[in-house]
Amino acid sequence: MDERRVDDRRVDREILEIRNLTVSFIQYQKNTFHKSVLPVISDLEITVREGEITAVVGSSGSGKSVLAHALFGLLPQNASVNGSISYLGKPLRPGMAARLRGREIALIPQGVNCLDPLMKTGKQILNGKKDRLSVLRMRELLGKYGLTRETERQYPSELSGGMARRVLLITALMNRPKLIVADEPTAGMEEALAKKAFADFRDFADTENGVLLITHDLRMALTVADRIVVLYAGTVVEDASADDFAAERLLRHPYTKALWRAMPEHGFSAEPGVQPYVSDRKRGCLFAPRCPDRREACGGEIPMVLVREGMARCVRCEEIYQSARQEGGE
Amino acid sequence: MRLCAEHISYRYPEAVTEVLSDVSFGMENTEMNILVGPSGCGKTTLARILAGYQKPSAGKVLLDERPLPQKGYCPVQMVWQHPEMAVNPRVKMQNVLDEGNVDEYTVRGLGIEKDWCGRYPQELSGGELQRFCIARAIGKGTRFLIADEISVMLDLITQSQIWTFLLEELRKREIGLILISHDRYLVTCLKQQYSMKIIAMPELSGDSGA
Repeated sequence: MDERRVDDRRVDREILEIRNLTVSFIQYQKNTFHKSVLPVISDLEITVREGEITAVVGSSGSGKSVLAHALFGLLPQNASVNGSISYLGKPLRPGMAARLRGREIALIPQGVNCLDPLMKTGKQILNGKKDRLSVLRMRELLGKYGLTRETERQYPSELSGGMARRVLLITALMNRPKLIVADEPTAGMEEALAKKAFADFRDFADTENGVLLITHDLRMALTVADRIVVLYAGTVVEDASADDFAAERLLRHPYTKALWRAMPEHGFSAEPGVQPYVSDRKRGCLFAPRCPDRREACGGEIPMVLVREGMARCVRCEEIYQSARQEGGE
Repeated sequence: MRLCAEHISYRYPEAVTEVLSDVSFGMENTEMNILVGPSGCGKTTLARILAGYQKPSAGKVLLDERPLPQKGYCPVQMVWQHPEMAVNPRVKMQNVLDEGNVDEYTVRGLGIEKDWCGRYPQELSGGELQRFCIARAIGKGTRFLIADEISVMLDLITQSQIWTFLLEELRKREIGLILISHDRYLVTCLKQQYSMKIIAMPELSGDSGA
Protein backbone atom coordinates (compact mmCIF):
# COMPACT_ATOMS: atom_id res chain seq x y z
CA MET A 1 0.00 0.00 0.00
CA ASP A 2 2.86 2.29 0.83
CA GLU A 3 4.47 2.04 -2.61
CA ARG A 4 1.25 3.08 -4.25
CA ARG A 5 0.97 6.10 -2.05
CA VAL A 6 4.46 7.22 -2.92
CA ASP A 7 3.74 6.78 -6.63
CA ASP A 8 0.70 8.98 -6.38
CA ARG A 9 2.74 11.85 -5.07
CA ARG A 10 4.86 14.30 -6.91
CA VAL A 11 8.39 13.13 -7.53
CA ASP A 12 10.24 15.97 -5.80
CA ARG A 13 13.21 15.00 -3.70
CA GLU A 14 12.22 14.45 -0.09
CA ILE A 15 14.47 16.09 2.46
CA LEU A 16 12.74 14.81 5.55
CA GLU A 17 10.38 11.87 5.79
CA ILE A 18 8.76 10.96 9.07
CA ARG A 19 6.82 7.70 9.06
CA ASN A 20 4.76 6.14 11.87
CA LEU A 21 6.51 8.22 14.49
CA THR A 22 5.37 7.46 18.01
CA VAL A 23 6.73 9.25 21.06
CA SER A 24 5.70 8.11 24.53
CA PHE A 25 6.67 9.23 27.97
CA ILE A 26 7.12 6.57 30.63
CA GLN A 27 6.09 7.64 34.09
CA TYR A 28 5.91 6.04 37.48
CA GLN A 29 2.56 6.39 39.15
CA LYS A 30 2.43 8.13 42.49
CA ASN A 31 3.78 6.03 45.40
CA THR A 32 3.90 2.80 43.39
CA PHE A 33 6.30 0.92 41.17
CA HIS A 34 3.77 0.75 38.36
CA LYS A 35 4.88 2.30 35.13
CA SER A 36 2.45 4.01 32.85
CA VAL A 37 3.05 4.93 29.24
CA LEU A 38 1.70 8.21 27.88
CA PRO A 39 1.75 8.31 24.08
CA VAL A 40 2.02 12.01 23.21
CA ILE A 41 2.55 11.45 19.50
CA SER A 42 1.21 8.46 17.60
CA ASP A 43 1.52 7.40 13.96
CA LEU A 44 2.79 10.73 12.77
CA GLU A 45 3.56 11.12 9.08
CA ILE A 46 5.20 14.26 7.70
CA THR A 47 7.21 14.90 4.57
CA VAL A 48 9.28 17.98 3.72
CA ARG A 49 10.36 18.27 0.09
CA GLU A 50 12.93 20.43 -1.63
CA GLY A 51 11.68 23.95 -2.28
CA GLU A 52 8.76 23.52 0.10
CA ILE A 53 7.63 25.05 3.35
CA THR A 54 5.59 22.54 5.32
CA ALA A 55 3.66 23.89 8.28
CA VAL A 56 2.59 21.69 11.17
CA VAL A 57 -0.48 23.32 12.69
CA GLY A 58 -1.95 22.18 15.98
CA SER A 59 -3.39 23.57 19.18
CA SER A 60 -1.44 23.48 22.41
CA GLY A 61 -1.18 19.96 23.74
CA SER A 62 -1.25 18.42 20.27
CA GLY A 63 2.43 17.44 20.44
CA LYS A 64 4.01 20.06 18.17
CA SER A 65 7.02 20.90 20.27
CA VAL A 66 7.60 17.25 21.15
CA LEU A 67 7.92 16.63 17.42
CA ALA A 68 10.64 19.28 17.09
CA HIS A 69 12.45 17.92 20.12
CA ALA A 70 12.24 14.35 18.81
CA LEU A 71 13.88 15.42 15.55
CA PHE A 72 16.78 16.99 17.39
CA GLY A 73 17.16 14.37 20.10
CA LEU A 74 16.25 16.86 22.81
CA LEU A 75 13.65 14.69 24.55
CA PRO A 76 14.09 13.81 28.23
CA GLN A 77 15.37 10.39 29.35
CA ASN A 78 11.94 8.92 30.00
CA ALA A 79 10.81 9.35 26.40
CA SER A 80 10.79 6.50 23.93
CA VAL A 81 10.74 7.15 20.21
CA ASN A 82 9.57 4.62 17.62
CA GLY A 83 9.08 4.85 13.89
CA SER A 84 11.32 5.99 11.10
CA ILE A 85 12.78 9.37 10.27
CA SER A 86 14.80 9.61 7.10
CA TYR A 87 16.88 12.48 5.82
CA LEU A 88 17.54 12.72 2.06
CA GLY A 89 16.41 9.12 1.65
CA LYS A 90 18.68 7.68 4.35
CA PRO A 91 17.39 6.66 7.78
CA LEU A 92 18.37 9.16 10.42
CA ARG A 93 20.16 7.19 13.15
CA PRO A 94 21.11 8.79 16.46
CA GLY A 95 24.83 9.08 15.60
CA MET A 96 24.14 10.59 12.23
CA ALA A 97 21.50 12.88 13.69
CA ALA A 98 24.05 14.26 16.14
CA ARG A 99 26.44 15.01 13.26
CA LEU A 100 23.81 16.72 11.12
CA ARG A 101 22.21 18.75 13.86
CA GLY A 102 23.24 22.39 13.74
CA ARG A 103 24.96 21.76 10.41
CA GLU A 104 22.57 20.45 7.80
CA ILE A 105 19.50 20.50 10.00
CA ALA A 106 19.01 23.63 12.06
CA LEU A 107 16.46 24.44 14.74
CA ILE A 108 15.07 27.88 15.38
CA PRO A 109 13.79 27.49 18.93
CA GLN A 110 10.57 28.94 20.24
CA GLY A 111 11.94 31.35 22.80
CA VAL A 112 14.43 34.14 22.27
CA ASN A 113 15.67 33.25 25.75
CA CYS A 114 17.50 30.34 24.13
CA LEU A 115 20.34 32.79 23.48
CA ASP A 116 23.10 32.70 26.08
CA PRO A 117 22.68 35.91 28.10
CA LEU A 118 26.36 36.03 29.05
CA MET A 119 27.86 35.68 25.60
CA LYS A 120 28.15 38.42 22.99
CA THR A 121 25.96 37.90 19.94
CA GLY A 122 28.81 37.58 17.45
CA LYS A 123 30.44 34.81 19.43
CA GLN A 124 27.17 32.92 19.67
CA ILE A 125 26.56 33.09 15.95
CA LEU A 126 30.10 31.83 15.23
CA ASN A 127 29.66 29.02 17.76
CA GLY A 128 33.36 28.60 18.50
CA LYS A 129 34.69 29.15 15.00
CA LYS A 130 37.31 31.85 14.49
CA ASP A 131 38.36 31.49 10.85
CA ARG A 132 38.05 34.36 8.39
CA LEU A 133 35.52 32.60 6.17
CA SER A 134 33.07 32.11 9.02
CA VAL A 135 33.45 35.71 10.15
CA LEU A 136 32.81 36.91 6.61
CA ARG A 137 29.78 34.65 6.32
CA MET A 138 28.40 36.06 9.57
CA ARG A 139 28.88 39.66 8.42
CA GLU A 140 27.24 38.88 5.09
CA LEU A 141 24.20 37.44 6.89
CA LEU A 142 24.05 40.29 9.40
CA GLY A 143 24.04 42.75 6.52
CA LYS A 144 21.37 40.80 4.70
CA TYR A 145 19.03 41.01 7.67
CA GLY A 146 19.63 44.69 8.35
CA LEU A 147 21.86 44.27 11.39
CA THR A 148 25.12 46.16 11.77
CA ARG A 149 28.52 45.06 13.07
CA GLU A 150 27.53 46.78 16.28
CA THR A 151 25.19 43.82 16.93
CA GLU A 152 28.16 41.43 17.12
CA ARG A 153 29.44 43.20 20.21
CA GLN A 154 26.09 43.36 21.98
CA TYR A 155 24.68 40.99 24.57
CA PRO A 156 21.25 39.41 23.94
CA SER A 157 19.68 41.65 26.58
CA GLU A 158 20.64 44.68 24.49
CA LEU A 159 18.72 43.39 21.47
CA SER A 160 15.05 44.00 20.79
CA GLY A 161 12.72 41.03 20.37
CA GLY A 162 12.75 41.29 16.60
CA MET A 163 16.56 41.58 16.50
CA ALA A 164 16.94 38.52 18.72
CA ARG A 165 14.70 36.57 16.34
CA ARG A 166 16.90 37.58 13.43
CA VAL A 167 19.99 36.52 15.36
CA LEU A 168 18.43 33.08 15.88
CA LEU A 169 17.70 32.88 12.17
CA ILE A 170 21.26 33.90 11.27
CA THR A 171 22.67 31.34 13.71
CA ALA A 172 20.59 28.69 11.96
CA LEU A 173 21.76 29.82 8.51
CA MET A 174 25.49 30.00 9.35
CA ASN A 175 26.35 26.47 8.24
CA ARG A 176 24.18 26.59 5.11
CA PRO A 177 21.63 24.02 6.29
CA LYS A 178 19.39 21.98 4.04
CA LEU A 179 16.48 21.93 6.43
CA ILE A 180 15.28 24.46 8.99
CA VAL A 181 12.85 23.47 11.72
CA ALA A 182 11.24 26.60 13.16
CA ASP A 183 9.16 26.32 16.35
CA GLU A 184 6.70 29.26 16.57
CA PRO A 185 9.25 31.57 14.92
CA THR A 186 7.05 34.66 14.89
CA ALA A 187 5.36 34.46 18.30
CA GLY A 188 5.09 37.96 19.72
CA MET A 189 6.45 39.60 16.59
CA GLU A 190 4.75 42.53 14.92
CA GLU A 191 3.06 41.83 11.63
CA ALA A 192 5.60 43.69 9.50
CA LEU A 193 8.53 41.84 11.08
CA ALA A 194 6.72 38.51 10.82
CA LYS A 195 6.18 39.14 7.11
CA LYS A 196 9.90 39.83 6.72
CA ALA A 197 10.74 36.57 8.50
CA PHE A 198 8.41 34.66 6.19
CA ALA A 199 9.98 36.22 3.13
CA ASP A 200 13.31 34.94 4.47
CA PHE A 201 11.93 31.42 4.84
CA ARG A 202 10.54 31.61 1.31
CA ASP A 203 13.93 32.67 -0.09
CA PHE A 204 15.62 29.93 1.85
CA ALA A 205 13.20 27.25 0.61
CA ASP A 206 13.39 28.45 -2.98
CA THR A 207 17.08 27.61 -3.16
CA GLU A 208 16.37 23.85 -3.00
CA ASN A 209 16.01 23.71 0.76
CA GLY A 210 13.15 22.77 3.04
CA VAL A 211 11.44 24.39 6.01
CA LEU A 212 9.34 22.69 8.67
CA LEU A 213 7.31 25.37 10.40
CA ILE A 214 5.67 24.47 13.69
CA THR A 215 2.88 26.78 14.82
CA HIS A 216 -0.57 27.07 16.37
CA ASP A 217 -1.53 29.95 14.12
CA LEU A 218 -3.26 28.58 11.04
CA ARG A 219 -3.74 31.96 9.40
CA MET A 220 -0.06 32.78 9.67
CA ALA A 221 0.86 29.36 8.28
CA LEU A 222 -1.44 29.89 5.30
CA THR A 223 0.38 33.06 4.29
CA VAL A 224 3.72 31.31 3.89
CA ALA A 225 3.48 27.52 3.68
CA ASP A 226 2.98 25.27 0.66
CA ARG A 227 1.61 22.36 2.63
CA ILE A 228 -0.35 22.36 5.88
CA VAL A 229 -0.19 19.33 8.14
CA VAL A 230 -2.97 19.47 10.74
CA LEU A 231 -2.16 17.87 14.07
CA TYR A 232 -4.86 16.84 16.52
CA ALA A 233 -4.20 15.06 19.82
CA GLY A 234 -0.76 13.85 18.73
CA THR A 235 -1.56 12.55 15.29
CA VAL A 236 -1.89 13.93 11.78
CA VAL A 237 -5.51 14.21 10.70
CA GLU A 238 -4.90 15.94 7.40
CA ASP A 239 -2.09 16.84 5.05
CA ALA A 240 -3.36 19.44 2.60
CA SER A 241 -2.03 22.01 0.19
CA ALA A 242 -2.34 25.57 1.48
CA ASP A 243 -4.58 26.38 -1.50
CA ASP A 244 -7.18 23.91 -0.20
CA PHE A 245 -7.96 26.34 2.60
CA ALA A 246 -9.57 28.70 0.09
CA ALA A 247 -12.92 26.93 0.57
CA GLU A 248 -14.37 24.53 3.11
CA ARG A 249 -15.39 21.94 0.52
CA LEU A 250 -11.76 21.51 -0.56
CA LEU A 251 -10.79 20.33 2.92
CA ARG A 252 -11.00 16.69 3.93
CA HIS A 253 -11.11 16.03 7.67
CA PRO A 254 -13.99 17.25 9.89
CA TYR A 255 -11.50 18.80 12.35
CA THR A 256 -9.84 20.86 9.63
CA LYS A 257 -13.28 21.95 8.48
CA ALA A 258 -14.19 22.95 12.03
CA LEU A 259 -10.94 24.96 12.24
CA TRP A 260 -11.80 26.68 8.98
CA ARG A 261 -15.30 27.58 10.16
CA ALA A 262 -13.92 28.95 13.43
CA MET A 263 -11.85 31.61 11.64
CA PRO A 264 -13.42 35.02 12.34
CA GLU A 265 -13.74 35.77 8.62
CA HIS A 266 -15.46 32.43 7.95
CA GLY A 267 -18.31 32.68 10.44
CA PHE A 268 -16.50 32.36 13.81
CA SER A 269 -18.50 29.23 14.63
CA ALA A 270 -17.75 27.61 17.98
CA GLU A 271 -17.88 23.82 17.90
CA PRO A 272 -18.18 22.40 21.42
CA GLY A 273 -15.69 20.06 23.06
CA VAL A 274 -11.96 19.97 23.75
CA GLN A 275 -8.97 18.01 22.52
CA PRO A 276 -8.65 14.83 24.63
CA TYR A 277 -5.89 14.85 27.23
CA VAL A 278 -3.00 12.44 26.67
CA SER A 279 -4.08 9.93 29.32
CA ASP A 280 -7.69 9.88 28.05
CA ARG A 281 -6.88 9.00 24.47
CA LYS A 282 -8.55 5.88 23.10
CA ARG A 283 -8.29 3.86 19.92
CA GLY A 284 -9.73 5.08 16.67
CA CYS A 285 -10.41 8.63 15.59
CA LEU A 286 -9.66 11.01 18.45
CA PHE A 287 -11.92 13.66 16.99
CA ALA A 288 -14.91 11.28 16.89
CA PRO A 289 -16.54 12.50 20.17
CA ARG A 290 -16.80 15.99 18.65
CA CYS A 291 -17.53 14.98 15.07
CA PRO A 292 -20.97 15.82 13.66
CA ASP A 293 -20.76 12.87 11.25
CA ARG A 294 -19.65 10.17 13.70
CA ARG A 295 -20.24 6.47 12.93
CA GLU A 296 -19.33 3.07 14.30
CA ALA A 297 -16.24 2.64 12.15
CA CYS A 298 -14.67 5.70 13.83
CA GLY A 299 -13.72 3.52 16.80
CA GLY A 300 -11.43 1.27 14.74
CA GLU A 301 -8.00 1.73 13.20
CA ILE A 302 -8.09 4.44 10.55
CA PRO A 303 -5.26 4.67 8.03
CA MET A 304 -4.15 7.84 6.27
CA VAL A 305 -5.56 7.78 2.77
CA LEU A 306 -4.98 9.85 -0.29
CA VAL A 307 -7.84 12.19 -1.11
CA ARG A 308 -7.49 14.70 -3.94
CA GLU A 309 -3.71 15.30 -3.80
CA GLY A 310 -3.76 15.39 -0.02
CA MET A 311 -3.99 12.91 2.83
CA ALA A 312 -6.53 12.53 5.57
CA ARG A 313 -7.24 10.13 8.41
CA CYS A 314 -11.02 9.72 8.43
CA VAL A 315 -13.39 6.81 7.78
CA ARG A 316 -15.39 8.87 5.34
CA CYS A 317 -12.28 9.67 3.34
CA GLU A 318 -11.44 5.96 3.44
CA GLU A 319 -14.85 5.11 1.95
CA ILE A 320 -14.49 7.74 -0.74
CA TYR A 321 -11.03 6.47 -1.56
CA GLN A 322 -12.15 2.81 -1.69
CA SER A 323 -15.05 3.56 -3.98
CA ALA A 324 -12.90 5.73 -6.22
CA ARG A 325 -10.37 2.89 -6.47
CA GLN A 326 -13.05 0.35 -7.38
CA GLU A 327 -14.36 2.62 -10.10
CA GLY A 328 -10.84 3.17 -11.36
CA GLY A 329 -10.12 -0.58 -11.36
CA GLU A 330 -13.24 -1.55 -13.27
CA MET B 1 -22.07 52.38 36.44
CA ARG B 2 -19.47 54.54 34.75
CA LEU B 3 -15.74 53.93 34.51
CA CYS B 4 -13.70 57.05 33.90
CA ALA B 5 -10.04 57.82 33.43
CA GLU B 6 -9.29 61.49 33.89
CA HIS B 7 -6.14 63.13 32.53
CA ILE B 8 -3.94 60.14 33.13
CA SER B 9 -0.21 60.32 32.53
CA TYR B 10 2.28 57.57 33.09
CA ARG B 11 6.03 57.37 32.82
CA TYR B 12 7.92 54.14 33.45
CA PRO B 13 10.71 54.54 35.99
CA GLU B 14 13.92 55.66 34.26
CA ALA B 15 12.12 56.26 30.96
CA VAL B 16 12.56 59.61 29.28
CA THR B 17 9.19 60.01 27.58
CA GLU B 18 5.73 59.34 28.93
CA VAL B 19 3.84 56.29 27.66
CA LEU B 20 0.55 57.95 28.42
CA SER B 21 0.21 61.67 28.52
CA ASP B 22 -3.03 63.31 29.60
CA VAL B 23 -5.29 60.43 28.53
CA SER B 24 -9.00 60.69 29.27
CA PHE B 25 -11.53 57.96 28.70
CA GLY B 26 -14.99 57.03 29.90
CA MET B 27 -17.54 54.28 29.36
CA GLU B 28 -20.78 52.83 30.75
CA ASN B 29 -21.09 49.23 31.92
CA THR B 30 -23.39 48.49 28.98
CA GLU B 31 -20.78 49.43 26.39
CA MET B 32 -18.29 47.21 24.62
CA ASN B 33 -15.21 48.91 23.24
CA ILE B 34 -12.19 47.79 21.28
CA LEU B 35 -8.98 49.67 22.02
CA VAL B 36 -6.63 49.77 19.06
CA GLY B 37 -3.30 51.43 18.30
CA PRO B 38 0.25 50.61 17.22
CA SER B 39 2.32 48.46 19.56
CA GLY B 40 4.11 50.45 22.23
CA CYS B 41 1.44 53.17 22.34
CA GLY B 42 0.43 52.27 25.89
CA LYS B 43 -2.69 50.14 25.48
CA THR B 44 -1.63 47.60 28.08
CA THR B 45 -0.40 50.32 30.44
CA LEU B 46 -3.78 52.04 30.26
CA ALA B 47 -5.48 48.69 30.87
CA ARG B 48 -3.35 48.03 33.95
CA ILE B 49 -4.12 51.48 35.32
CA LEU B 50 -7.87 51.13 34.70
CA ALA B 51 -7.90 47.79 36.52
CA GLY B 52 -5.96 49.26 39.43
CA TYR B 53 -2.78 47.20 38.97
CA GLN B 54 -0.69 50.32 38.49
CA LYS B 55 -0.86 53.86 39.87
CA PRO B 56 -0.76 56.65 37.27
CA SER B 57 1.90 59.36 37.67
CA ALA B 58 -0.88 61.93 37.29
CA GLY B 59 -4.65 61.82 36.93
CA LYS B 60 -7.15 59.40 38.42
CA VAL B 61 -9.44 56.48 37.69
CA LEU B 62 -13.01 56.90 38.89
CA LEU B 63 -15.82 54.38 39.22
CA ASP B 64 -19.11 56.26 39.60
CA GLU B 65 -17.20 59.36 40.78
CA ARG B 66 -15.31 57.35 43.44
CA PRO B 67 -11.78 55.96 43.26
CA LEU B 68 -11.33 52.20 42.73
CA PRO B 69 -11.76 50.27 45.99
CA GLN B 70 -8.45 49.40 47.68
CA LYS B 71 -9.90 46.45 49.60
CA GLY B 72 -12.17 43.59 48.64
CA TYR B 73 -13.30 42.58 45.18
CA CYS B 74 -12.50 45.10 42.46
CA PRO B 75 -15.43 45.62 40.05
CA VAL B 76 -12.92 46.22 37.23
CA GLN B 77 -11.30 42.89 36.37
CA MET B 78 -8.59 42.10 33.89
CA VAL B 79 -7.67 38.99 31.89
CA TRP B 80 -4.06 38.77 30.75
CA GLN B 81 -2.32 37.62 27.62
CA HIS B 82 -0.28 34.88 29.31
CA PRO B 83 -2.51 32.75 31.56
CA GLU B 84 0.43 30.67 32.78
CA MET B 85 1.84 33.80 34.41
CA ALA B 86 -1.48 34.84 35.93
CA VAL B 87 -2.01 31.81 38.17
CA ASN B 88 -0.10 30.62 41.21
CA PRO B 89 1.93 27.56 40.13
CA ARG B 90 1.79 26.09 43.63
CA VAL B 91 -1.96 25.80 44.09
CA LYS B 92 -4.48 23.63 42.32
CA MET B 93 -6.88 25.11 39.80
CA GLN B 94 -9.90 24.91 42.13
CA ASN B 95 -8.33 27.81 44.05
CA VAL B 96 -8.36 29.96 40.92
CA LEU B 97 -12.12 29.45 40.66
CA ASP B 98 -12.59 30.14 44.38
CA GLU B 99 -10.71 33.45 44.08
CA GLY B 100 -13.43 34.79 41.79
CA ASN B 101 -16.40 33.15 43.53
CA VAL B 102 -17.39 31.56 40.22
CA ASP B 103 -20.77 29.85 39.81
CA GLU B 104 -21.42 26.46 38.28
CA TYR B 105 -23.02 27.93 35.15
CA THR B 106 -19.90 29.86 34.14
CA VAL B 107 -17.70 26.84 34.77
CA ARG B 108 -19.83 24.73 32.45
CA GLY B 109 -20.25 27.49 29.88
CA LEU B 110 -16.50 27.92 29.50
CA GLY B 111 -16.05 24.18 29.06
CA ILE B 112 -14.01 23.69 32.23
CA GLU B 113 -14.04 20.00 33.13
CA LYS B 114 -14.35 18.84 36.75
CA ASP B 115 -11.16 16.84 36.47
CA TRP B 116 -9.08 19.96 35.62
CA CYS B 117 -9.85 21.61 38.96
CA GLY B 118 -7.69 19.08 40.80
CA ARG B 119 -4.64 19.74 38.63
CA TYR B 120 -1.77 22.17 38.96
CA PRO B 121 -1.38 24.95 36.35
CA GLN B 122 1.61 23.26 34.69
CA GLU B 123 -0.55 20.22 33.98
CA LEU B 124 -2.92 22.19 31.77
CA SER B 125 -2.49 23.75 28.34
CA GLY B 126 -2.64 27.50 27.68
CA GLY B 127 -6.17 27.29 26.33
CA GLU B 128 -7.40 25.37 29.36
CA LEU B 129 -5.73 27.81 31.77
CA GLN B 130 -7.18 30.81 29.99
CA ARG B 131 -10.69 29.40 30.56
CA PHE B 132 -10.01 29.43 34.31
CA CYS B 133 -8.63 32.98 34.18
CA ILE B 134 -11.72 34.19 32.35
CA ALA B 135 -14.04 32.39 34.77
CA ARG B 136 -12.21 34.02 37.70
CA ALA B 137 -12.51 37.47 36.16
CA ILE B 138 -16.27 37.34 35.59
CA GLY B 139 -17.21 36.55 39.18
CA LYS B 140 -20.35 37.99 40.78
CA GLY B 141 -19.04 41.48 41.55
CA THR B 142 -17.54 42.28 38.15
CA ARG B 143 -18.92 45.33 36.35
CA PHE B 144 -16.13 45.92 33.83
CA LEU B 145 -13.84 43.45 32.11
CA ILE B 146 -10.56 44.32 30.41
CA ALA B 147 -9.33 41.67 27.96
CA ASP B 148 -5.75 42.23 26.82
CA GLU B 149 -4.96 39.94 23.88
CA ILE B 150 -6.65 37.04 25.64
CA SER B 151 -6.92 34.73 22.67
CA VAL B 152 -3.59 34.96 20.84
CA MET B 153 -2.26 31.71 22.23
CA LEU B 154 -5.44 29.79 21.51
CA ASP B 155 -6.29 27.69 18.51
CA LEU B 156 -9.14 28.94 16.34
CA ILE B 157 -11.86 26.67 17.70
CA THR B 158 -11.07 27.43 21.34
CA GLN B 159 -10.88 31.13 20.50
CA SER B 160 -14.34 31.17 19.03
CA GLN B 161 -15.76 28.96 21.83
CA ILE B 162 -14.48 31.34 24.49
CA TRP B 163 -15.53 34.57 22.78
CA THR B 164 -19.00 33.31 21.98
CA PHE B 165 -19.73 32.38 25.60
CA LEU B 166 -17.98 35.39 27.10
CA LEU B 167 -19.73 38.04 25.02
CA GLU B 168 -23.13 36.45 25.53
CA GLU B 169 -22.53 36.46 29.28
CA LEU B 170 -21.20 40.03 29.38
CA ARG B 171 -24.20 41.32 27.51
CA LYS B 172 -26.65 39.42 29.72
CA ARG B 173 -25.08 40.60 32.96
CA GLU B 174 -24.37 44.11 31.64
CA ILE B 175 -20.65 43.98 32.17
CA GLY B 176 -18.68 46.56 30.19
CA LEU B 177 -15.81 45.31 28.01
CA ILE B 178 -12.55 46.85 26.91
CA LEU B 179 -10.93 44.59 24.35
CA ILE B 180 -7.34 44.96 23.22
CA SER B 181 -6.35 42.99 20.15
CA HIS B 182 -3.97 43.09 17.21
CA ASP B 183 -5.92 40.51 15.25
CA ARG B 184 -7.66 42.56 12.61
CA TYR B 185 -9.95 39.71 11.51
CA LEU B 186 -11.11 39.11 15.07
CA VAL B 187 -11.68 42.83 15.64
CA THR B 188 -13.72 43.20 12.44
CA CYS B 189 -15.78 40.13 13.23
CA LEU B 190 -16.57 41.09 16.85
CA LYS B 191 -17.28 44.67 15.88
CA GLN B 192 -19.90 43.55 13.38
CA GLN B 193 -21.51 40.75 15.37
CA TYR B 194 -21.71 42.58 18.69
CA SER B 195 -21.78 46.18 17.44
CA MET B 196 -18.70 47.21 19.40
CA LYS B 197 -17.10 50.62 19.16
CA ILE B 198 -13.49 51.04 18.08
CA ILE B 199 -11.43 53.54 20.04
CA ALA B 200 -8.08 54.58 18.62
CA MET B 201 -5.54 54.98 21.39
CA PRO B 202 -3.83 58.17 20.09
CA GLU B 203 -7.19 60.02 20.01
CA LEU B 204 -7.55 59.70 23.78
CA SER B 205 -4.64 62.03 24.58
CA GLY B 206 -4.81 65.76 25.07
CA ASP B 207 -7.97 67.77 25.55
CA SER B 208 -10.21 65.60 23.38
CA GLY B 209 -11.38 63.72 26.53
CA ALA B 210 -14.43 61.49 26.64
